[in-house]
Amino acid sequence: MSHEPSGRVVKIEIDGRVVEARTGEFLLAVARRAGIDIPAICQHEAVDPAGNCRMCLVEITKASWDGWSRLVTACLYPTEQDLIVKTHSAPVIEARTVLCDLWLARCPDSAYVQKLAAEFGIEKTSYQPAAVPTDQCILCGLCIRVCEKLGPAAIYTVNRGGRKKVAGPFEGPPPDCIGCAACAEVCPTSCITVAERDGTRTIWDKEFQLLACTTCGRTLVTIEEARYFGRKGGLGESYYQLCDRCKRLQTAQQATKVAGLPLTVGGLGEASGRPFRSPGSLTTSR
Amino acid sequence: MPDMIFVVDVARCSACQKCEIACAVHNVKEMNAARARIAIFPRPSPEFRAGSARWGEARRALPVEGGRESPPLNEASGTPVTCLQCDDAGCVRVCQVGALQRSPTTGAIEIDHAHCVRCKMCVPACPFGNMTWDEPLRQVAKCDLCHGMPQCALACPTGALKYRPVSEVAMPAIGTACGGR
Repeated sequence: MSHEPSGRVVKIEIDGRVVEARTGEFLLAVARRAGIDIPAICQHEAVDPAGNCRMCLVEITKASWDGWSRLVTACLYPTEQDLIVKTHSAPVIEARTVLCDLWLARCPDSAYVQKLAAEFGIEKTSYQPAAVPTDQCILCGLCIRVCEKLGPAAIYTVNRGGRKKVAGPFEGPPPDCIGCAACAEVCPTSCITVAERDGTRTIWDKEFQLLACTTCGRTLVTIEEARYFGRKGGLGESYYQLCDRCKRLQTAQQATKVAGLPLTVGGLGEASGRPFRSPGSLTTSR
Repeated sequence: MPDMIFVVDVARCSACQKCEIACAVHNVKEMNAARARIAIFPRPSPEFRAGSARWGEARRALPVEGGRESPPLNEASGTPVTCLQCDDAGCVRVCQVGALQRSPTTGAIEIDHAHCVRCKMCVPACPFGNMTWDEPLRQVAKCDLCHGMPQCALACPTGALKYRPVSEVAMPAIGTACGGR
């Protein structure tokens, strides 16, 4: 779903401050622009908001509502004229506290959830902790939405209720996964494991060959990823033969030649061609 | 249309690496040339190379004048390589989330790290090697002309790197790489 603000300028009140917004713009975006902090976990600029994590709940009301108010997810709620928003009122804090309490029951071992819960004064969950602790996933679905945005859409939630989790089809290695690891990069609880070893990357139980520089052997992305995005961007495979450092050396050699200078670049008997440089601070494998 | 242009004059580079240091300090707050968005490839003359077993040792052995190390221009020189801000850029073509956008003021392609999902595909997509992965920051890194105040050009003592009004730079001469359109 893509959401375009319709453009009419309205005035809304957030935490007592009058803020200008366009109708249809989402509350979270308006608040962030005004420098008002609303916590949000499953929100990422690259993808449309989904309202999954519920952390961005805020209380809204209007003067004409006779004192009635309700909680809505700020990431998904379109602004309208005369809206009054409270981002840290008692019902909002209570709702967020319950959320953290529930997450702590689900993922007691997650450092991220522990820290988040501690911010709301919860050291130990008041719910029955999971009998068999699940993984550290809070099912916010950000990985799924990012994967869909990039194109492969390789992962999705499987099962329902307490057994719901993020996985490939039939809980096996996802056939469409290209191993780009963007899901792991955006995961708020860092619960998606990526292992890199001997020129391979393993993610979602699927092993990928990493693309190695034909000159120096450095690796950064998987071969599948290079092929997939290269095809999408219309780039030939000749783009990926060398790593960025070797390509820079090549660029320098060509630039020197074009400049009509008789001297050669690099090649002082050191493999890197960068004699002053201490290697090692720019590494690719994690 | 940007009114300033980044000009590289390869013949004037003395490989002093001040641009790399200025870039790294400005962009990653660390005095580490390896994390700079610009790279200098030393280009010593054959005679100079023949006379020195290792470039670094030879460079340290150079006479220090006025308290500052200054390799002679015709002996020690380098080739700077930095982002060319291509019109039809490979990095922009492969980015699926729109994190790479051209700035209307400087003409440089800038990274919006809030949009970036760190798939790192833009790194192999650059045919010149000017998109890099900065492991300490866990971000991709490229030259964005410091949003209109390129620190490398300010730091360059020889005029190899310049940031000039487009009107003053009539035509890119041969041997001149241009960025920022």
